Amino acid sequence: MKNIADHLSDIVQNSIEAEATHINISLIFDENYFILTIQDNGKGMDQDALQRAKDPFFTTRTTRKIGIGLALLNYNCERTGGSLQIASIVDVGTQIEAVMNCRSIDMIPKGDISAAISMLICNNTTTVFHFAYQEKNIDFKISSIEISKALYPITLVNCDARKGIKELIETNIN
Amino acid sequence: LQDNNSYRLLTVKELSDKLGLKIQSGNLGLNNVIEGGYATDLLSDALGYSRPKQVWITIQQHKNVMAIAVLKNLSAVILAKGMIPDQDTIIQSNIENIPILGSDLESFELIGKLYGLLKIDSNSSCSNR
Repeated sequence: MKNIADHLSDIVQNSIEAEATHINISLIFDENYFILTIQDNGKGMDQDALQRAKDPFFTTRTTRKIGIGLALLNYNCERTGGSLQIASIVDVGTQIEAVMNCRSIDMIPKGDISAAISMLICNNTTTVFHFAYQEKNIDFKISSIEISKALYPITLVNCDARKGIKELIETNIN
Repeated sequence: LQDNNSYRLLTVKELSDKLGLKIQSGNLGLNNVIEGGYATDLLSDALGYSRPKQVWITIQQHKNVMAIAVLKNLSAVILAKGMIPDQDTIIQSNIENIPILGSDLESFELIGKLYGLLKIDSNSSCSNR
């Protein structure tokens, strides 16, 4: 979890495990701040789970007792002087908003965002993803529905499809 | 490249005594056996590259340190430069029986001493022959 792309794939995994069918991912880079928002329509968390969500010794997983994803994201946000907000309603969904101060010396690098997004889309073909990216004069939005339609009859699980999606995102966000 | 057998095995207590470290927490884990160490202040680096039974040298005081120590089955954590663990880090260390030790030395000096103490020089027995 050393860059934004790592965190992104990791946190979205929570949404998928929460049985979300729609996931909105938004990345905004302005001059001072980076804001990552992930919204899902998964099963959500109750107040108790919500309060402990940033605690590394809290997890809904049963195979091990530590859930480090949100704890490390929270840590990386706070290190830059930013913060992590989590809102959730049971049976409605969850929204996380991670804010980092881009000007901090401890700001983590972006990593390979197009690889992370294309991987999520192709590995979770029953989930609808909306991806938005804003930075300076870039304002790019795409959904997995649009991608599926454009690719037809090639399916998302196809290996070339993943490469194509990665390239498409890459050229649009750089 | 990394040879586990080339480290002297010491318990946390023995190491602590030899280096004059202050035991901050996790007293029930003082008999944990230490087999080499890993030094980094990046949590993701520790998560990726530390190995079981190692002692982790860092200046991070956050509770996330304990989460990684548990996940990676580390034997102990040493906080360099006089750093004091956060209260919830201490509590978790006591729950997990993974001791946190403290040193006033800066990481560079502390790691040097630790390496000298733990590393078995494979050439030392035959270098003068």
